Amino acid sequence: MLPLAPWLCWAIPIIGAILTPLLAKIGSKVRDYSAVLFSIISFVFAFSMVPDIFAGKVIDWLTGNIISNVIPYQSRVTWIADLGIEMGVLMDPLSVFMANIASGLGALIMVYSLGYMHGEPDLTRYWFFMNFFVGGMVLLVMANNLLQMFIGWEIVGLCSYALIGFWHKKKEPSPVPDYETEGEYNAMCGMKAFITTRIGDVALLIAILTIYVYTWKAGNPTFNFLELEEHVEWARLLVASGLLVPTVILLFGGPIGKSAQFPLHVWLPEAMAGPTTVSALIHAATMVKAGVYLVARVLPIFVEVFTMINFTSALYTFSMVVACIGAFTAFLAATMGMVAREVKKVLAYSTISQIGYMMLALGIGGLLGYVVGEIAEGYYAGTFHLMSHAVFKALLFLSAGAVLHSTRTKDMFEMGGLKQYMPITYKCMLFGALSLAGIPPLSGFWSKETIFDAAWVLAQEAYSHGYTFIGMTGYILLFIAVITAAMTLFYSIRMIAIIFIWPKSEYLKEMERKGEHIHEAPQIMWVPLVILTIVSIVGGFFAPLFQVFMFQGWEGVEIHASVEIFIRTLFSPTILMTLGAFALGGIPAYYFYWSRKIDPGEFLEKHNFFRMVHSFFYNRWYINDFYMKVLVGGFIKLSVVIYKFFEQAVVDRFNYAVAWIVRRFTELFRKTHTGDLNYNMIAVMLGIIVMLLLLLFG
Amino acid sequence: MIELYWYLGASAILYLIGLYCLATKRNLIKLIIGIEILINAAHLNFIALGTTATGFDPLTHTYVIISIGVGAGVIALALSLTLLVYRHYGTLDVRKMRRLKW
Repeated sequence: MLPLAPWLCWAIPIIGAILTPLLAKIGSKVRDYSAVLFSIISFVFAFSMVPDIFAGKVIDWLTGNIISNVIPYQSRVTWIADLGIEMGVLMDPLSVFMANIASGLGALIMVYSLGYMHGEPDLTRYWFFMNFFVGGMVLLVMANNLLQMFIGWEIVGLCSYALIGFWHKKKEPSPVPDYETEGEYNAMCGMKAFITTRIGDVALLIAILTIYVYTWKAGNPTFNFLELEEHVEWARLLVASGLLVPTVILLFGGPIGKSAQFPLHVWLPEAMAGPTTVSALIHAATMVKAGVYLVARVLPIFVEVFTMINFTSALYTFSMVVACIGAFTAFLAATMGMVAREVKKVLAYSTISQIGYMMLALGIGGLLGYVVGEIAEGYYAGTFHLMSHAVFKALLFLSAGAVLHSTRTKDMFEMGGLKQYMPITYKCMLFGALSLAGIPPLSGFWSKETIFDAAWVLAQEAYSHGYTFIGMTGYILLFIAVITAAMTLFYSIRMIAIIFIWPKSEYLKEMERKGEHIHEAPQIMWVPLVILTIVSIVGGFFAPLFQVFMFQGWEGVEIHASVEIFIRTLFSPTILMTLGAFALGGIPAYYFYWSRKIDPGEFLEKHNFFRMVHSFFYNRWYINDFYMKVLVGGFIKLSVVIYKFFEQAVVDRFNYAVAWIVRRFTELFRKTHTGDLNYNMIAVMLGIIVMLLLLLFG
Repeated sequence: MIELYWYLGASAILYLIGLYCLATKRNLIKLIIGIEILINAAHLNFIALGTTATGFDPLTHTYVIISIGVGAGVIALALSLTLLVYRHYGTLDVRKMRRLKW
């Protein structure tokens, strides 16, 4: 690695962010290009750690010294030794992998921003938060302890909030009737995202502090991941007090909020109010993966610790919750994605759905750990899907950004016929959508297939080890995952067809009549698109390499580092289910949207049942409305009651009483305050005389 | 050698003059002069008490010199305030400046 790479890869973007306002004084060009440069340097540092992971030892390229012979390698600075508070970085496959995803996609999207955000006002703020985000995200994944990770966790939350509401000054009418301007609506979306994720963050913080307090009780206070794994006394004490299961579930609360899982998934569709680059970087490729990262980070620790203290039922509960929430979220969001009208909303729902897949895979990994003591299968599936999803979803968002940039509308039904105007974007987005849908041989196919395979293996293993319930759950999870794959293909085809294949909409014709022409994206925008397209086409073929990378330093993991992995995937029993899912999702989508043999609108008119289902899905299962009415409305009602019966009746009345008493008391002295200096001085003289007399005769 | 009580007496007389001035005069500038006399009474007292038959404590002199310097600044501020008061009220009579009184 380059010297100090694990530190510099997150310090450089943060320093860059702080320098941005200064560089803006020199000139806007300097500011823009230097901001991009900082993120590229960060990627160079992050990428320089990859060879070390493959080699299994850490080498400083500058001096040639071997810094460490083992992976994971930690570099730590003690801050308060007695409290176990430290600052440090952890270099292991997972952290290096995530750091590369965050800074690599960050750099590409920053380059794209040069074109997409060209000529916008307030760009200093934009570059500041983008760089700050990249720094915070890499800090989050490189941290070697829970506390520092939580700091990064909050930094990315803040940047997400600030960037969703980036266009808060827009004066156009609001897309929803509750607000006056679009700017107000955007600001509200940012707040919604911030407050919703905060609920999960509080749960996460409680869990972190509980673990910390119990490590304290065990005599070795620490936040450090490796030390938590090594000294398991804290877990024993937690079991003794009966808090272990609640703690691990609360720990999962953080990922639920950050990764937009049910029941806190409501914020992500609104987060699309931000610029598309922000949606691509923060709300698709990196920040929402922080939750997946955290689960992947703690899962091996939990397996190790809970096995050591003979309390694997906690592992079972945790994994079950993760897997079920993941599977349900994948299904839930996919149903909403099938009916959404805005292109970015479709992508947002599909992000939620795909993250559900990753959670499902990690949960399956945990359950496999419970059944056979080896989490590798599910863990690999989850991280592999994370990588391929990060690439193709960034690609989809950036293509959608190019489309939005030239049509200036978010509504898919106001587009249409863009194929001939934007051929490059069309091809890129098509490959992205097919990868999302899991069409072979694109990267999405291999990663999704790995997840199905893991679920299948879980079911088989569970039955053969006598865990009937887990086996049954495994089949149900697999079934849900396959159904979701069908819906994924459906909405991918629908999105592409409506945007590019359908005839040109009235809106676009009107626009052309006004003299504005739809144009292909500028070069600086389509070059990142093409790079991402290539990666998402060939990405799946790096699976053996990825497996070697991910399991560096693990013991006893069976690695299929050859063509075997592809053959295994292609001939696994789940491939038939996948083909069935393609038929189930693809055929209706083809008739409705591609060939347009059946008009979807008329179809809904005719069939009452489908119309009801459509409106149920379109209204997001009424979960959003429910939260708005019960939680937000209930909170406001509660506040009114408290205001009336406590604030006004008790607190205010007490204050008035105090004021009244003081006033009546001072009335007694009022006459002595003449406001005349001479009188006051005479009083001083009298006082001196009295004191002198006391001195003389006292 | 002049005895200590002479100095203390002179200081007390200065103090009384200052207080008398503050108690009877209405003009702001005269009041400032009164304050200045009061301060000088304190200075004289300080130096007198810091001096013994064998010599004097240089620290007292240092403090008094600093105090005179700071006092000059205070007087300058007070006079500038007086000027503003005069512009605002059109008078220097303290009895007329009662806006802060209830």
